Amino acid sequence: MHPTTQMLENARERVTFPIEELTKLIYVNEEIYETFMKAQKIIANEPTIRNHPDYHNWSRKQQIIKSYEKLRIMHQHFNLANAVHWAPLLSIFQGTTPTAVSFAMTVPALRFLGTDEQFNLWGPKFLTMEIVAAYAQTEIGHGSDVQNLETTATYDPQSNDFILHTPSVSAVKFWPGELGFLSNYALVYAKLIFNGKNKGVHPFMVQIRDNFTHKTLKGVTVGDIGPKLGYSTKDNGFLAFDNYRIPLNSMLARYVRIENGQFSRHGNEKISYASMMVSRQLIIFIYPRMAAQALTVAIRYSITRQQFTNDKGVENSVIEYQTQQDKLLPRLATCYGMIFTGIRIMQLVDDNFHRVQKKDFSTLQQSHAILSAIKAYSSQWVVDTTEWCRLSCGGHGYAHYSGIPAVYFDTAPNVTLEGENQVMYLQVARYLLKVLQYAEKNPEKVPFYFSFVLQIKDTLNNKDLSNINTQLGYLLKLSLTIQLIQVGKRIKDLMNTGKTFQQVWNQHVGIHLLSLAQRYAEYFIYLVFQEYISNANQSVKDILQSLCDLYCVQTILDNSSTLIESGQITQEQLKSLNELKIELFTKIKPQAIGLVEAFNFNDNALRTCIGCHDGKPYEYIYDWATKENSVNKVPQAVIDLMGTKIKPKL
Amino acid sequence: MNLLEQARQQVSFDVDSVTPLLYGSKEQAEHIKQFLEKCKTIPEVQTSPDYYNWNRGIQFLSKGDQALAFQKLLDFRLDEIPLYLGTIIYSATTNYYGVYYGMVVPAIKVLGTDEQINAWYKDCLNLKIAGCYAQTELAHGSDVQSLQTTATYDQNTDEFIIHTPTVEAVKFWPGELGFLANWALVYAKLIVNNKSHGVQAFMVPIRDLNTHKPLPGIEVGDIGPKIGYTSKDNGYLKFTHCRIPRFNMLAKYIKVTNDGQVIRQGDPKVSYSAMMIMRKLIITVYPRTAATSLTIAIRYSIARQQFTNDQGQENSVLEYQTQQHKLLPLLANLYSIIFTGLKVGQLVDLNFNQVQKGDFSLMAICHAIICGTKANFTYFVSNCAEWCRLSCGGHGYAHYSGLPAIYQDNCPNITLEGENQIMYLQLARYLLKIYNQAKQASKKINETYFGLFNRLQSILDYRCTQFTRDQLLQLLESNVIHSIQFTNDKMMSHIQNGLDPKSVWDYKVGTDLWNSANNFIEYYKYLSFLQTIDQADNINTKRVLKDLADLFAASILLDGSNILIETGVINVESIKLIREFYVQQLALIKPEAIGLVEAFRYNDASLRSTIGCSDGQPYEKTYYSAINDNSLNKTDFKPIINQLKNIKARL
Repeated sequence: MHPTTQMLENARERVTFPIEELTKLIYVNEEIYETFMKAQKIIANEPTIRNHPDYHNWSRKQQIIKSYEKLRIMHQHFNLANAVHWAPLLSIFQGTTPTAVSFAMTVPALRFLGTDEQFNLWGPKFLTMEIVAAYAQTEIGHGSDVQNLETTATYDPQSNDFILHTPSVSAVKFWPGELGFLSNYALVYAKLIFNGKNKGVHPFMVQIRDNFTHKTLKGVTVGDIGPKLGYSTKDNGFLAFDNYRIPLNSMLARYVRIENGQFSRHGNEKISYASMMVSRQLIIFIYPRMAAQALTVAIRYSITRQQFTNDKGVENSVIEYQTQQDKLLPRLATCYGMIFTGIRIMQLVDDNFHRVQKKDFSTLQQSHAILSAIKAYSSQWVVDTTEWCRLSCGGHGYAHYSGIPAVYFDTAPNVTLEGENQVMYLQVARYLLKVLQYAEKNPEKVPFYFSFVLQIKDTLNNKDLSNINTQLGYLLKLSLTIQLIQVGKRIKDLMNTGKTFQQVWNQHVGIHLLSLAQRYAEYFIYLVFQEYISNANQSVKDILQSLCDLYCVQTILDNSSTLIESGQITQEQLKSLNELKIELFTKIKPQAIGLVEAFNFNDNALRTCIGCHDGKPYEYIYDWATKENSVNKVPQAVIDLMGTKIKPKL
Repeated sequence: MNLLEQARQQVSFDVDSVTPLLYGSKEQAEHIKQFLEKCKTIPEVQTSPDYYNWNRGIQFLSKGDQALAFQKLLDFRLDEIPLYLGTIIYSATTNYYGVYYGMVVPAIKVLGTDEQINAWYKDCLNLKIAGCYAQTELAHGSDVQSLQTTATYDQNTDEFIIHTPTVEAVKFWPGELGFLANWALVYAKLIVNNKSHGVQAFMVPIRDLNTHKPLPGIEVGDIGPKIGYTSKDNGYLKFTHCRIPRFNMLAKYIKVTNDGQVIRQGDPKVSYSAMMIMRKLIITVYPRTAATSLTIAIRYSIARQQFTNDQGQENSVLEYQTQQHKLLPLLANLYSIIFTGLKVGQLVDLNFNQVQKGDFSLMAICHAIICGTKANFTYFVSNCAEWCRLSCGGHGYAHYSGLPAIYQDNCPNITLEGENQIMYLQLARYLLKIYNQAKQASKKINETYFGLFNRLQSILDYRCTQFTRDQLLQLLESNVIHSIQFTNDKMMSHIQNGLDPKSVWDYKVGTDLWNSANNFIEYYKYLSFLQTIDQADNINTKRVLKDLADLFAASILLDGSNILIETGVINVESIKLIREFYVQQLALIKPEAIGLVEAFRYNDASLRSTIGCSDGQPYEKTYYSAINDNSLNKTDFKPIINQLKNIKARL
């Protein structure tokens, strides 16, 4: 056996828990797991779409063409409209998936904001690819701030239709995915002007390209915005309208309507959150799985990579070094918390949708708050984790053959898209302050996952921290509680000095609000982690508890200032937590390979040559460089360049 | 009035008075400004806005014309590294022959005998020889002594045989090896009479000087695509029993005679001083690309408005405290790094000159400081690019913002030329050594660089019970000394419990060593910042820079001063005061921010950004660039897309 294969096999033998038990938890149910495994196999065996080592040398054009081929094949095997069914697959492709935005954003918006007739008119055409529709909300000048969008849809009573118009450059729709080339429709968010009055921003289903020729229709300017950090295959686009007429039926009319020349509103407008929820939920569900891919690569590589001789004259695997463990193990622990949270949130959002469809809006706000908190926390965590995985692989991590850069590229936009993280956090903070008021006045209105606000007195008075290492969850709750109370007080104090609420909010407490919302996200993840542990099979309870403990202790240490400044914990206790962390490293290190392999990614899905199942990093790297790297066909041009241009000039 | 113009009018100091401080002198500042202006007028030097749509082959070739045009601008003074500053600011991405003149040529100068330098140097300058620095192997990077490539002396033919015994030993990553180099400076284990004499450097021809084809026994090529460095041909190199003359081993410090005697002469540590030149480049030049990031992000944050305030007007996003919290500490940190870099540059030059004269007295100090600043600065540059990107929302993710390229092309610096973690550990080792010397009062510690160790006791006695801003320096000093003391004590107690020192170092205190080293560098940066402020001659400039320096110090203390709390140096009340102080400083610096970034005097062309230009019109530039410059919009995808419509989906 190859020595590096042997190292991995030896590591696998030291794993003491049944890996398949964790696999079950990760993939929710048999159906999702089977779909996932089948997809991995199909992709790996299909030469035109399998992950190509040369891919990142290609031009964007060539990459985009491959992505369309991928779409064609995947469409034959899977139901792309069933997001839950299909979501885990998104993480294992090279490049983004065409139609993902159309299905994850536009279709849900049609379902929630359109009438039944409207949904029946357009919905089925998505499944046959007759319609691909971009979600055209963001403009060059405005993103998060929907109410200030500038595109106008002016109702014309004479012809009983709308005139869609882009009044300035800052109003050009910019960034929507699948708009650049693929879409023939767009769901355009525009300010409705009715009888000269602004009636707020509403969505309009607008045809932008011809159904047969796919040529851009007259009055529409559309194209691709240019190359980005990642998402090379995603045709993020621009879209401008020049007094473009669209029929009355274009406006999604479940909650606003124009009938017989009259404008009317129906029902709860908060519903507009609901469609964004689908895409946020997907971000939370899918992308931590990409972090798991990066971790699989980094941990396998850290076992097979040896560097510097130890005192017995043998080279150490780099995973033996404490600094390497510190980079990877807390992130591995958190990864499990993120995966469980992703699943739990999917269930919460589903439950909320069923209610909303029955016009029950009671869980809407809390779902929105939880989603916002976790979307922001999780997307930043995924990017950071990917980056640290890369760094933990030294120079090789910087090369695409490690598989890690692509994960970073394609997860990085999640921090700013579908709700910019900072804006998300501020909304969470606002909700937390509101829940705090509920606790004082209407305790029955406090939702389950916010019940810590009902326990404030107990939380603050529980001073028994003599055995602090068993009180980790409590410390997270304590930190959250203290920050909530402090921010509330700070706002009040500042307003007492004559400032308006908005001044205080924007200019004086922003960083405190961010911190508060992050503490909530951390506490929520802890709660979900604990739910999973109590429901888990006995054989994995112990390892899951260790992971949860490491997650907590790292989180507490990263943000210990609140607890220290408020005098809740002492220097001695802080030291004790640090020691606990090191103990947990010792416990989790031998299990690490099992913990990443529970995800069951095949080598093709990992797109790596340093983290394969049988090791051999150096053989695979060398093989790829010498055989698969098309740039090595360039040299004749280089010789010409040097021979005819550069050298003679010297 | 335009928002940027309004912001400029609020700046309370003379921006021109800061520029010379950022470049070390008025002359250098003027030189860079003129160089950037000259670049603007030369078409070959511009990086196409369409660049990131292209395949790597085309990207690589496009840099050839740019390289030539830059060399012309520099009058072909190829080996004068300081001149490269302007080219790196202007192009951000990699340049042909940067590694060659930054690493290989200095190594030949330092490690070669006069005879060898005479033989090769002229050819180095006219590019007859284009060399690469072939040290790293697939399986070994940081650990030079474990390199496996062999150079075996054959007495019969008076030659060395260079050989790659395993896949692990393949040279991998050297820049400019993939396509450009025809020679390689190969680090290999010297074997004479079956005995190993450590790793030495050899000049090995790898491609034919005329046809540029690989020579017999050589396999060479490009390693493949990376995060960034798209136009750098990082390469692989495998030898099968390649013979080179005995003359080709760099022999200033070690010599093999024709009868197989190995003679060492002088101090081999000197070979490090060549490596130091490259690290100096990383320390002094690349942080200036962080100034590009911040110029873009701060201008855009002023021009970008979002959400209406209570007067019904939209706010510039820089008005939001959260945005200030993202950007202003980075700006403060940038200044500390630029000022510190200039000082480190002087130290490296001084040491280099002394080493050439056989004086090694500054070597260890220089090494320790380079290691620490290299690690700290490179983390900063990529972190800064990333946060600037995030502060620009979606636009930051697009190449037209100019920010992704800065991230992509700077992040390899974290792991190359001395992996950062290893760098910090080396500084930590030095700090522990002088700490113990200071404790035993056995030796006077160098006052210029490590003066705080001569005041060990008074630093340990210091307590902060009521924070005021004049205590920032003391707090940062305490942060250094206490973290070193804590690490030292922890190591001692493990050793007393029977663990061997090496195991303690590797397995028990890694993170503590890291913290000690980092804390020292942050202290050193603040100190350098204060020293530079003394050179400013204008009272308003001094005031603003002092505010900026103190913002930097406060942000460092808020981020990483657990040790001060754990040891009781600082009380809870004072931490709260630092936090209040930090928030106040944000408000003070906000109106100065535009002046502080524009003091770098980067012209629009050098920013390569549609969202950060000096006229403050991000949207027009962005939109017209998408329409006019994006070649993909001239590509016809319609036939393929129309085919997709025929798919009968599985439902």
